[in-house]
Amino acid sequence: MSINKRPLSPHLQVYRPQLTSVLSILHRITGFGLAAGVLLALWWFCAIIRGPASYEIFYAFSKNIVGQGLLLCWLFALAYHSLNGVRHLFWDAGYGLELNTAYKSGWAVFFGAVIITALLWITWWQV
Amino acid sequence: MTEENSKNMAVQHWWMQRVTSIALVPLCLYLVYRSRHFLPLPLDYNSLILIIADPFVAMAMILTAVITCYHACLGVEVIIEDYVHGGLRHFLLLLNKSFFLLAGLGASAAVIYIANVLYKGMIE
Repeated sequence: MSINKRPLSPHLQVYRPQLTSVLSILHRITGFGLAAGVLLALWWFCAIIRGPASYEIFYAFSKNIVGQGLLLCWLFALAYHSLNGVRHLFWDAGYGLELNTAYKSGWAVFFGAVIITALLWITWWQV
Repeated sequence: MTEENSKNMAVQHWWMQRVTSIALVPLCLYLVYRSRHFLPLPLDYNSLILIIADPFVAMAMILTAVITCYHACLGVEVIIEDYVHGGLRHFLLLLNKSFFLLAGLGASAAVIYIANVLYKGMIE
């Protein structure tokens, strides 16, 4: 497959970001982030299987600032990707495709994800 | 590949994305609900094994692991197809499928191991 080295006309530099386009790329980014989180889940299972000593190491990682930051980002990614995924499923069924409905559902999904992340973090998932 | 086969594959992809998404909604809700017992991570190793050995948690974890890995494989596949065009393309596509196949099988095996061997070792 030959690589096309001819120049592209500017797109990302000129198009104004819309809610629809930003939420769409955020859906892809959060999806990729969640997939990367599978690696950490695998480490978690390995740590449990190898015994209490390995689990201690994982536990310490989960308690320090890097582990907590990753967990918080992953939690937001889960909340946002799930809610936006439901929005996509409604679109697939044919509902909510008008522009003003898409904007309302978009804001609802984004703030819903923020609220769910905050609630879960404060009640169950934090240190 | 014939044109009809490539169209069928595309439709299959589209449907599997939707079917796995719908299946993941209740599974994720259930696991997030049960996570109140094991997040934040308990210091006590044995309490964690007890929670994973619960049959509903174990089943939900295995189903979620397998379906998530399939869903993630489909998702990362389209990302690679969109952004990678050079020599790495075929390698990354193979790596993607291999990784998620192993991850899904490995996570399921891990849950079964924890819920059986480690649990039995613990209650003796």
